[in-house]
Formats: sequence, structure tokens, C-alpha cells
Amino acid sequence: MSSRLEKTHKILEELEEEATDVIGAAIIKTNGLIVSSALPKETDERMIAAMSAALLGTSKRTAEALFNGVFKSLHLELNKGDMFLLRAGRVILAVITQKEPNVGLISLQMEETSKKIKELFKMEE
Amino acid sequence: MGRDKRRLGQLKFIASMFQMVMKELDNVMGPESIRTIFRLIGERQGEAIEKRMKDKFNVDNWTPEILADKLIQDVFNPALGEGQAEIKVSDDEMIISLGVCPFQRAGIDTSDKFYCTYTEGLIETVAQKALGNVSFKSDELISEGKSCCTFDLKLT
Repeated sequence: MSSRLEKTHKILEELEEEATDVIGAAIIKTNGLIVSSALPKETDERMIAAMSAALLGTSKRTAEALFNGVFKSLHLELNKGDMFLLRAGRVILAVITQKEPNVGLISLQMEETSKKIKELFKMEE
Repeated sequence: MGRDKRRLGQLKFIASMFQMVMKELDNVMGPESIRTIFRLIGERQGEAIEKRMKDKFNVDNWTPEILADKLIQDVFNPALGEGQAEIKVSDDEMIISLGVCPFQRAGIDTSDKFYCTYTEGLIETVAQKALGNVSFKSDELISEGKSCCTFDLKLT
């Protein structure tokens, strides 16, 4: 029986295998700490995790201010690749992709991954 | 006397500005951002404290006992006051109890737990730098209405 940590690694590996545009992914707590990471080696994981939590915080506030709504996901379009954030219960799924990825496919795969994470940690929405 | 009064006025101004900044940061960026930033500050402080204590006390190899002793002497007593911190050390575990919250003592509302991540980041990082792999857990927090903050560190 593998540990939860091993299972989170496996979930991230599966995401990377299935989505060819994905070059890295991480599961991050909302206080900016990494639960599990498969980000590219040269990435400063600690800072990316902290920035992801900050982006989540700001996005949540924006959702509330605009529509009295709830944050679901964030897509950052950058010049050398993209970043996606998806709330998965009490954690954030962060995914880094190549430039101009297939956004629809990435979204679907992230939702599937999010379900697996929630199931693993038995999280409520 | 006049200088003291002016200094007190300046400190009150800074404290008031700090409270307002925190309120607006929460409004604009959300609690996750604030807790994350305080956590990072705590981690940086933890790194600096471990280095400072190592140099100051000429420590070549940390043991949990030496770390506990120096933390009380050089970090917790000056920050919290004598006798406000206790560290129980066993074979592979350190339990740190803090009887005072320095933020609450400064008159800051801690119910949103913005500042707990600072203390958590500081303690976890000091322990990791000094002792290697350590698993960290906050058992009790004053900000949650408990009488003291209790942190459990297990050497792994």
C-alpha cells in the first residue's frame, strides 16, 4: 500500500503523461506549502508555490468583488508558456505548459486530476 | 520626556498603518496571500536565526537538546519574556510550548491567524536547518483560543 505522498506523485505523473503540453505540475496547500511537485528542475518550487497561493487569494477576492462569485480556475498566458491553477478542495493544482497549449484539453485533464486529489484527501468542494 | 512622547506617537502611527495595510491586503489579495507572505518571512528568519546561533554559540553539530536550549535562551526568552517558552525533548521529538503570542501582546487581532504562519515557518525552518529532516505540526494555537501554542517536531 503506497503512501498518500506517493499517490500524489503518481497522480501528477499521470497528468504529465496524458497531457503532452504539460511540462510540470504541483499540488500546493493554500498557505503556499508544496504537498507534491513535479515541476521542471530549474524552477524555484518554493516561490512558485507561494505565488500560486497568492494568486489564488487575489483571484478569490476578484471573484467576490465582480460577481459575488467563487473562484474556480486561473489561466496565465505567458510569453514562454502558460500556467493554470485549479482549486481542488483545500489544495491548489498548479500546471505549467508549453506555449499555446490545447486549453480545452488541459482544462479537462486538470478537472480529472482534481477529482483524484479530492478523492485521495476525501475533500469536500 | 518630550522625546519619549514623540517616539510613542511615531510607534502608534506605525502600528495603526500596519493594521490598515493588513486590512486592505486582506480585502485585495485574500488571507491565503497574507498567510503565505508571513510564512515566507518566518522561513527567512528561521534560516537567519539558525546561522546566527550556530556562529554565536560555536555549534558544530546540533542536537535536539542543544537546539532547545539555545532557542529558549536566544530567541524565545528575548521575544516572549522569561519562562514563557518550554521545550520538551525526547528521543526523536521536540514539543515546543509558547505561553504568549507576541502579536497579541502588541495589541494585534490574531483571530484570522495571519501571523501564526510566521511562527510556524520560523520554528520549522530553524529545526530543519539544524537537525535535517523534521516533520512539523501545529497542535494548538493561542489564536484559536488555546492557552498556549504547541508545536510538535518529529525527527524523520
